Amino acid sequence: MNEINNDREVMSFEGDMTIYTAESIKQDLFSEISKKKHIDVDLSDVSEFDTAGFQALIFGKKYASDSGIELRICGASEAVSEVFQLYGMSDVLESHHES
Amino acid sequence: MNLDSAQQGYLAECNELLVEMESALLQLEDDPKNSELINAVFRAAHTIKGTGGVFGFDDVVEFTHVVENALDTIRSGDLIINSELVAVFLSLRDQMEIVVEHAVNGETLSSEVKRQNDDLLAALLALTGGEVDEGTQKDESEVNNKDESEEAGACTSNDNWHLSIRFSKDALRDGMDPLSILRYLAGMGDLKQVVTIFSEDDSEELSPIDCHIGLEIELLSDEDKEAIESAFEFIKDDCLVHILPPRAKIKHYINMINALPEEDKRIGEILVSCGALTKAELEGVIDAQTESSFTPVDGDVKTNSLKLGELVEENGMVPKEVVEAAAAKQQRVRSLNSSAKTIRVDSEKLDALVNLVGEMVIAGAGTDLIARRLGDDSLVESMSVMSRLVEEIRDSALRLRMVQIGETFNRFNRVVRDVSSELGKDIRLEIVGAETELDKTVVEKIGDPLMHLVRNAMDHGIESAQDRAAAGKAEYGSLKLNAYHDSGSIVIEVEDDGAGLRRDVILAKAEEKGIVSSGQVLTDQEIYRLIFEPGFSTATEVTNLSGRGVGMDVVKRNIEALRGLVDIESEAGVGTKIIIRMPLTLAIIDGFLVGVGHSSYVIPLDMVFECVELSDAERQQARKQNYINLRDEVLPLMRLRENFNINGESNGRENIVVVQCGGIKAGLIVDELRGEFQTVIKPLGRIFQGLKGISGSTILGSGEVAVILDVPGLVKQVADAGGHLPSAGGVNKNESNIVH
Amino acid sequence: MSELMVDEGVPSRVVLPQDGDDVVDVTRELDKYLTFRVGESNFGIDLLRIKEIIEYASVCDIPMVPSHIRGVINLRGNVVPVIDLAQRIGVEGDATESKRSCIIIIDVLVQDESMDIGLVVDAVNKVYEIGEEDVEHAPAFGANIPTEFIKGMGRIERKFVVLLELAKVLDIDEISIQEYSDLAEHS
Repeated sequence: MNEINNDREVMSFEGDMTIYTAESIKQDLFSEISKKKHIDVDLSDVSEFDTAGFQALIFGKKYASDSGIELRICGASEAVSEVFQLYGMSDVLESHHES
Repeated sequence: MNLDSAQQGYLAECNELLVEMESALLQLEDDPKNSELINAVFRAAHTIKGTGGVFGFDDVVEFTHVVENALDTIRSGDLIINSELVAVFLSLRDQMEIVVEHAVNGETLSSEVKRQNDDLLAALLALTGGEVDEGTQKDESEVNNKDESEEAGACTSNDNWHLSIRFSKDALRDGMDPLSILRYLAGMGDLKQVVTIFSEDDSEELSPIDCHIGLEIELLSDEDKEAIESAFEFIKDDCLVHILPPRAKIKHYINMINALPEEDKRIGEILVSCGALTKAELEGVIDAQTESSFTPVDGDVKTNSLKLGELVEENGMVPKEVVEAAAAKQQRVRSLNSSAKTIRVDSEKLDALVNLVGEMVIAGAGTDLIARRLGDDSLVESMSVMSRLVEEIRDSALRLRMVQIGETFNRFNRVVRDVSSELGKDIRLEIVGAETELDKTVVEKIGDPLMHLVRNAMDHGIESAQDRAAAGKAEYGSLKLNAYHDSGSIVIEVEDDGAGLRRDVILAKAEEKGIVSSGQVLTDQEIYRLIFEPGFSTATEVTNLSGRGVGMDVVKRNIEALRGLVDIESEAGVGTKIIIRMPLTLAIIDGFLVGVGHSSYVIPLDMVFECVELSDAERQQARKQNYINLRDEVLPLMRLRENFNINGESNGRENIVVVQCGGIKAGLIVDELRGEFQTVIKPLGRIFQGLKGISGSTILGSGEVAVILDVPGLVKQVADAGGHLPSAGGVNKNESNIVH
Repeated sequence: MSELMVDEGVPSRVVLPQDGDDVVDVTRELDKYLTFRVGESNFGIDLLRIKEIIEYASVCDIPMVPSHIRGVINLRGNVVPVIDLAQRIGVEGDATESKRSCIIIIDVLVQDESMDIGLVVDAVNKVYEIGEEDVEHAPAFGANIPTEFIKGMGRIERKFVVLLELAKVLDIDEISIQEYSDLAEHS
């Protein structure tokens, strides 16, 4: 699931990010955050995304920024984009897409 | 079968909600703008309607729907509640109870009930301006509160619906994803702006499967309010939802801001950022909140909104409304917290626990007895540690059943309200000590006697307005319910500021009824107490409420059955006070064990004042007089051996247990003092109900049964005898009692 | 241990089948009566009404009660009132308790609440099956107890025993202590 790229960590998630998996996704994110300086999260292959998954991601992002670590979302599937759009937070995705 | 129990559950839930509704309505009378209370009333009606709909109770839905709509008008601030409305809502509440009951029992409404429904709804519509259905919210001809500042009455320029949602923590787990609401809303129009608010708590602590999301939404839609509300049909009960129509009034925003959990200034910023309010309008909000006295200087909106709090603090003056809103919010947060820390337990489980602990106390006493007999020091010591723990467990177990008396007291708000209007008297109820705790079983049983006392005080105690004016008293009568703890008992007082008891009238009546013989000299106190005698009623006019002559004696008997005591204080022209003293619990007491002949008796320890051993001279004296001189005080005596007709000679030594109850002391003469003892009260049951002088029984460590003395009853008997103890007290019923 | 204390064939506790025990054939049980002796006479009561029979021991006196109430006992943590059957139905019982004296525990339903009441008898005999055809009406006169207490006369081997009408013998209103006003006594 994880690929190492210098000091940059790319975490790719695939399949479901839903209420059934959100808790462990949050754990994974948080434990990576304490190890790396930069983390890119790739959500291109996420097929199902609900509020629980969304929250897990947002909590991770907040935790990262609180700890002075950069967490970017570098790819998003349609399911993910729709959710961010509905929550009025598309800017979180777009700004990072470009970079 | 399953459905049946679900419906019973619905009935129980409705009853609970209706009680909440009533109490909120009564409080609203004094605090008409309290949005918390209005919400509580609304929620009750809404839930009753919603769940009723699930069961297909059309009558309930139909009736409650109209009520709910009217409440919504009030909730949105278009209509200010007044006492007239409260009265109608109270009647509607009562009617809801009837309608729900019919529905659950599967009965169709009789034409009588239907007529009542229609009458009540008509009365409601008359007060709420004829139409309470959708659209009234936007109606300009609504009742405007005079207190509202003009600014607050003004409309915003926002063309969108503003929706504010705070989800419950369990929403996701309950299968309610906020996304589905957003998608639904998106189908109704254009989601102009969605601002998602996250909890500010430490993200490490938060679980992603709890819902920590709040939404502020701008929706451009042609749909009406009902349609938009339908998006929230399934979550409304658990979530905080505000729906403000386009061009809503500033005051609606104020209400909403007050109701939201976040800080006012944070909300203010969010509302501006999502376009719900312009910066000028936000200033209007601030102005209204601060009663226009702190108009912020022109400038950036954010600074203005930030200044709201700061200005107030700097000036050291906090406008009343803001304080109230803040206090109400804190209260809500607190109650949310406390509800999370409370669990509901079936009271039967608690009773079972208390019973078990009771058995443990008995078993502990038995083991302690054996340990002492064996004389093994280390065993005795470890037993004493055990005993202390058992005692602590007992206390905690009993505390579990302790409830505040407040709920019982609050019921009387409604009673006082209804009865005073029935009697045409203006009577105000004051409640003191609502937080006083006592055992649930006592609370359950004290309601009826209290009801009678309260009605009695209102009917007979408090005079008519003319009489009060003539006596130079306040126009309105005061009734006070007071509760406090006093040395292991709970004391409940019902006090009125009426005319007081009329000594002469009572005495004349008592003589007429043959309760006292004429010429008998009685103190004022004794005369007042006569009103508790069976068949006594002084009301010259029999009214609807009391005066049927079955009142006070029943009250007294019921209270005594609970090991309680009633007393009365009265002063002519000033008022009357009934004082009820009850044990805190009916399950376990600390007892003092005494022996007479072969039998053991238990005296409740909190009533034992001291123990005295009689010298020979004193014994001689006591035999003749039935009282002794105890440190220059006359102490009336009761010889349990004679009083209980116990056979067998005494061992020569006699002890006096001085008991005290209701300020009267008496000495009980016993053979032997056997020490303190924790006692689980076992009721003697139906057969012994009429027995005087004995309040229950208990099982000793040895397995023997011992009788618990009814000290209040015995003291009264001694006091009534006035020191001339009837040596035949009860003996006539006892001639052939066999003692082995 | 406890068995050692039992003698003369009277078990310290006999648990009898109750309603609800699925093994009991109710139609058959209906005809069964426990017979026992009070003073000179023998009586029978419906077996189904009996919860258990215990040895007579340590009855706690309750002061100031009418003579038909013997006192209370501790029945496994519950305080159970004990009625002196001889006094209640007006026959002469044995002067003192013996080792054969027993307390029969009866389940009485009072206002939908079940409560236990104990009956003191001088000796328990045995259980008989008495069919309906062997039960005759109470005689109009000649019985040594008031006819209201008699449910019928059961024939056992050409002798008759009085079958007691428990509803009347244990009529809760009649055996309860009547309330009395102590004020009335003083005046």
